[in-house]
Amino acid sequence: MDIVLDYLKDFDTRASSYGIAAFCILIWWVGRSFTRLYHQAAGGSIATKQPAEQERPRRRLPLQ
Amino acid sequence: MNMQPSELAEHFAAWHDEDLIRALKMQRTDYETSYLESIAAELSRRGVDPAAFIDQLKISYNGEEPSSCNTVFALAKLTDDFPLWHALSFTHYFGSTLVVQRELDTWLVNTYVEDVYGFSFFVADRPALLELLQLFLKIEDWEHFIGERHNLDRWKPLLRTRSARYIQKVAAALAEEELVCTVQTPVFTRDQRGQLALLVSVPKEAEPILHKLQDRLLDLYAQADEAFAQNASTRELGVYTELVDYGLNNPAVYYNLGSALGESGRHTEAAVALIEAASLSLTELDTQVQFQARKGPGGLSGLFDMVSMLFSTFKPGEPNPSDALREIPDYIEDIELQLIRLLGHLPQNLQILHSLASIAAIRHDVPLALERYRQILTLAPDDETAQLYFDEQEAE
Repeated sequence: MDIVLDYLKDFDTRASSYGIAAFCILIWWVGRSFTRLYHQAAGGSIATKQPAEQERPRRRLPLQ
Repeated sequence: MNMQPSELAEHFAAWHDEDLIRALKMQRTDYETSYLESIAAELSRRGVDPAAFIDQLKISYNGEEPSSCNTVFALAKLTDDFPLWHALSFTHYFGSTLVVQRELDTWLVNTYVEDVYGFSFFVADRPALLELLQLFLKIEDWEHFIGERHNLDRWKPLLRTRSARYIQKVAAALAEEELVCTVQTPVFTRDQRGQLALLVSVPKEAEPILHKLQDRLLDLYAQADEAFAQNASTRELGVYTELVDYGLNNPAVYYNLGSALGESGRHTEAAVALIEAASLSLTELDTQVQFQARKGPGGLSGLFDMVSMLFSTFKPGEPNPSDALREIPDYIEDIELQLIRLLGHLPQNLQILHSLASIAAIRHDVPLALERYRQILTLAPDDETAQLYFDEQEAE
């Protein structure tokens, strides 16, 4: 972490360094979200599954 | 010093009859025996019978408006079948009050002096209670009946629920362990949800007993699920019958019992269980409608009462939420579907029709509710609930 901080301090001001860091994190987070959405739509381990149609009336209700 | 008869009239000239009797009954420890004898002699001279004079008392049933009566009439109210946890207060001529409440195996007596609570104690049985009350109302010594004194203001609620039967189970379990408890009804607690409160003097000792009972219930839930998973319908029905005996306000218990009975072809019994499930669900759903103490929760009558209450709540001319269908929990839809199925087997079952009509009415599905009530009126033209619904709709 110190190495990263030292690197960022090399820029003109500390404030702009932090701003650049926040921007990088934002880019990473948006990219990750898009990737997850892509996987959910395309199938795979985290694909969104439609709930099975439940038989009505239910034979039993949960007791708790 | 005993006064001569000729002195009595002059000495007590300023005393009213009531003053003399108060001195004789309430303040007798303040006077010497000879003076009390003089007072009694003066009353005798005046032809006043102290016992008859004070035989005017007030009784009040469950906090209702007090009514005046005599001792024989008042004590006749305490019958053997006096309802559990109901209370009757006795106020004697000079204003002291005993409030008597029926408990499971005993009677609880609460003492008041001029509306100020004093203490409580338990009396073992009805004959002893009647003897105590007779002495109290005659304003004679009754204190020897007092056992251990309790201050109910310091007792803590162990459990609050609308189910009298469940409270009774817990109270019986506490009694087995010789722990004293009492129940406050909504009549006195003014609980908006109509819950009874079980009060105990030592919560630390009572809580493990309650937890044991709750563990047993969880065990029964697991057994019911297991029996269903294994298709063991007889065993499953046995478990649900035991669960029903606990009197839980859990609609799922009655729903599952009804569904299991329906699957076994026992349609009439299934209807009873499902109607109970509907009643409990709708009562729970509409707790925001002001609780009316005279209406008991649960059971078919509770269901009808509640529907009547809802009708009267949404009077014409007031902002009416019935313009849109009301969302109801999905388990009530399941109950409705099960009842519709049962109606195929029992087409003339009025109770099923009433339940279906109630569900439709509470969902604000007016056309369907009217249809259901029309069916009811075809079978029972004098049905009051159906007529009330029609009257309400016509008024709108």
